[in-house]
Amino acid sequence: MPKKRAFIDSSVIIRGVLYEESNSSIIIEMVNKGDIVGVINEKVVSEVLKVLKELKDKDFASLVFSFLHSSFEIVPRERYANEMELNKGKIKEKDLDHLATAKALNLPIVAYDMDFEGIEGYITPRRFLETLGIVKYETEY
Amino acid sequence: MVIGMDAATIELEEEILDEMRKRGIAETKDEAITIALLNFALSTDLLSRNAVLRKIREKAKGIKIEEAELERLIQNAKEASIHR
Repeated sequence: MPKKRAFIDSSVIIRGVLYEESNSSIIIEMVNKGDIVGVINEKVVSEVLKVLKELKDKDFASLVFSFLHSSFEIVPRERYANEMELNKGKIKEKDLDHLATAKALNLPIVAYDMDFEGIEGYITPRRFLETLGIVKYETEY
Repeated sequence: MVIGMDAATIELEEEILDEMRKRGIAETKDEAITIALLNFALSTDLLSRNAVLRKIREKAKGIKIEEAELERLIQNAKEASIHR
């Protein structure tokens, strides 16, 4: 059976790194083990690095950068450029790359961000794990 | 005898560093070297992804932040990384 693939938003990766006891953390572990395929783009990488540099230091961000590059599938902008044009105005500009990436690859968007509410394919970490038959933590993230 | 890098290699190194800066990956040469070493170690199995994730978890334990403040940082980072 092919592995489940999903676009993972920075809101999930950052919480998964910081909160070990969270549904986001379980998702990070599953990506690390190769149980699911986590798909991201360069904008997600940039967002994660920016937040973690502010919270800790550059060495910590470097570790996370290497982890992202070795564990996630990173989609180049050229692959979703067309969807960027098609989806302009449907979501805030800050999330357009992510919606376009998910649409281009026909993937669910696993995120904890109310700006995705109402967007087709949006799913919180908790609900995503429920689709896999895994429920551990009560929080949505 | 000290063997230095030739001009072409130095130029290539500068181009890579410049691109890393533009993409917000690294700001200094030291930072770029750390990332390059980690990525080399991961791609050649000198280091496992599990080991890196364990280290990340260990270092993350010292970070204390309120959920509302974290949400603000994430939203700011999303706005700041809009490709224009």
